Amino acid sequence: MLLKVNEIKQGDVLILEIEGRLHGADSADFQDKIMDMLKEQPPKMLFDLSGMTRVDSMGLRAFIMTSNKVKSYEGKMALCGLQRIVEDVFDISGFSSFFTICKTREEALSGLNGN
Amino acid sequence: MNDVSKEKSVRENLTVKLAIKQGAEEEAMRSGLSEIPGIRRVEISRFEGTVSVGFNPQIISRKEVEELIRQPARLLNRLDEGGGRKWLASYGAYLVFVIGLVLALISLYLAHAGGGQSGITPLYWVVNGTLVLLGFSNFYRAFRNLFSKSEVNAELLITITTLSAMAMGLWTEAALMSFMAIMAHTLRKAVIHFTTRGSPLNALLGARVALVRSGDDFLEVPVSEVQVGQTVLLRQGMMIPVDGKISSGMGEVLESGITGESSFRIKEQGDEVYAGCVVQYGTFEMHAEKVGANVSLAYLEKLIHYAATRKTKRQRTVDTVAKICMYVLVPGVVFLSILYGQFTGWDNRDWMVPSIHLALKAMIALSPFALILATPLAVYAGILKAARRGIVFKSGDVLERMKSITSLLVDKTGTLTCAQPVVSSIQPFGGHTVDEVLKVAVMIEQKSNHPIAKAVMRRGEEQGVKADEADRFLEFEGGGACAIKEDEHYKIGSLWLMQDGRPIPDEARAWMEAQQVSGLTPVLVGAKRRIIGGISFEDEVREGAAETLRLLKKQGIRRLVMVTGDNKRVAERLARQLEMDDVIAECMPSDKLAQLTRERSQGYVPGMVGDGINDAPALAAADVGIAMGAVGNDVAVQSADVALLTNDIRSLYEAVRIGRQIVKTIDFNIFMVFAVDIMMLLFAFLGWSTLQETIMAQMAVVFIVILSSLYIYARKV
Repeated sequence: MLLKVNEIKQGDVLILEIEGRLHGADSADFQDKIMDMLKEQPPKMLFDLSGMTRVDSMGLRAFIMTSNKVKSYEGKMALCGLQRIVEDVFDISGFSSFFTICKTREEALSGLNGN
Repeated sequence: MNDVSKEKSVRENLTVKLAIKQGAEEEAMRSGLSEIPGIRRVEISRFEGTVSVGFNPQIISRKEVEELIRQPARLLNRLDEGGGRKWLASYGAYLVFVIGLVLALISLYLAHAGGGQSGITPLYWVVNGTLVLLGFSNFYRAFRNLFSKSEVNAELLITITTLSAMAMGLWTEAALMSFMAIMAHTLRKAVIHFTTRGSPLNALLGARVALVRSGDDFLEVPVSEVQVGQTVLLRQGMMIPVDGKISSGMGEVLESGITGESSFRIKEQGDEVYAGCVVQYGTFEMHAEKVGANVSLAYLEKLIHYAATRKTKRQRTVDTVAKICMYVLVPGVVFLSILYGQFTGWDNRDWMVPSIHLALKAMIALSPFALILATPLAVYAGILKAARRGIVFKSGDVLERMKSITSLLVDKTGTLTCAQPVVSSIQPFGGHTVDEVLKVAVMIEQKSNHPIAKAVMRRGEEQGVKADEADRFLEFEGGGACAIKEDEHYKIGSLWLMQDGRPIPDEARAWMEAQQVSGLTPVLVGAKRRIIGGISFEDEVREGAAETLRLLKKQGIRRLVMVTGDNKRVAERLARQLEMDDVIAECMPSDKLAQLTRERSQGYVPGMVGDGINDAPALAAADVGIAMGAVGNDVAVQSADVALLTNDIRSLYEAVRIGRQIVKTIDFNIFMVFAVDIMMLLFAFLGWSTLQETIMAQMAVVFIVILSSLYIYARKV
């Protein structure tokens, strides 16, 4: 399955819907794509992972690098809709407390918008 | 239903719904099934997704037929069986061949004894008549194919020429032609029988082990000895050794080994898993339900069977040429011969005799008997020879691609160096002890299959360090491993993996830098949100690595590039030692892919050799991907075109050699067949050859083609 990334702009939040397996070569492409987007320094980023079925070390690194970058220009970032198998990766690797992770998109949006 | 089958008594039909993949699978299924005694007709409809088989229920049961269709891997076993009807069928064919050979020699003697004037004696009739009758099954097959599949093949051509010769009273020639058909058929069978005798994979069986629970431990047990009901541990990257059900854990499984499609499935407790599938992510335990060598090797057998029976590109081209011979050239030369005969014998009442003579010679010269055997037998013999040496070629096309490789990317760890690095030093930080660091490392790594993990486990055993099992475990390809024990996080791996908010002490950074400078591979060990120490590893160059690389250069591989995830200093030191042409260090899987593109842009045809999950994308993308399979990761084996299942880098050279030998043999076969065919045709038209001589020449070509294929199998690498 090919990785699909849909960009949606909602207010000042850049929502990225990720579908498929964030794995192998796709992870590297994904990392490049996100680094490109970060040049414009979006103030708030939300990754909706409800369609993402797998993440590998490269994928996880892409999220870590994004988070570090966003923090460096004092932006905000959140993840939502993690499937069980993806949630597992974040949990066991100890990164679930490193990121802001929400169950639903609504919850994440209200968190990012400071409600 | 019963009444109907009793009435027909000899024939039943069975249609099974089954998704068949185009090409290899279809070919293998068709050729495999039609070799089984009792199966008479095989129809495969990819469009409807069905396989229909006509069979004789007195010879093979409906259940057996259905099993063979649903588990094509069993086909090979079935074809391999030493005993039973198959044995009789094969040896019966050999007996017919030997009798045929004796009769053919007597027939030739009779034709030439006394200057060929010995006349038509009763012996002449008996010998030639018997020989023609012995070839009856070939004629029957030819007509059956013509009527049931509208297939015009070499056997039909020989049938027509034999019948024509008989009609003209040329009984010696008819008998010789009949013998030629018997010879081609029997010797083809003999090559297959000879190369597949025993299981070619028995040698590989010992190489594969399963982790079976014994008390609190997991023991390595050969997969053929796993018992029903035992609990088997499945780690990330492992091939599932037997069929069964998940008893605990969750993960993702790649099922392409079974279905032929790249389908990733999430598996949880209670789900069924099948031998040959590969664990892509996660660790679980399974309950073994179907065990035994057949199950565990099914995947590899399937691979080899498909590879050996599928048509290569070159063979498809040759088949097209053979078809052109059959459909265009043969009618063409027959027409020409008749014209020729008419012109030369116009004033002669018997103009038809020389022209039919000529037409028969032309048909024999152009009958593609040898041509259609030229490629598949060499491929078959080569692939089976390789399999016995632990080299699995996944298709015949790979052999041809192997020949064109001009540069080779070689992974370092596990390929050029021993798969098992050793712990060089353990450095505790912040007041922790060596034992504490090792204990955490052992706790995490005991569920991993990675070479680094095995080195940690060995050091743990040496120092008598034991650790409890982690509650949860996760492994990152090329990144390290993580575990949770009593709600605390533990990690071992690269620096980035530790950057989850925990402080990274300066002494840790300095230690890592120093280890890298001295050419070692360092990892950090984290426990309870702190970094407690580091472990560095060193690896040894494999025995025979330098020699293998040198030999590969002699085989025409102009450029050798080391690609490794390891740091630059380690890589460069080793590259110098092994005289590599280039080295790309600190590679992520995507960098290896990028290097393939760079090689292509410089005009090279790149191959890739690797052993790990992280090599898998490059193995799949290279012109030829070669996986070091015995020690490496099964994901790598699945992505590659060639799997080396011995733990010896020298088999890399053997694989390249065998590949080149096969292609050379095929080239020789095809060249020789064409050369002799053209010569025979020329001689026929110039009147320099008799019909008997033409038949003998065609027989010699068939014989040489078969011998050259057997030679591949028999010669040393």
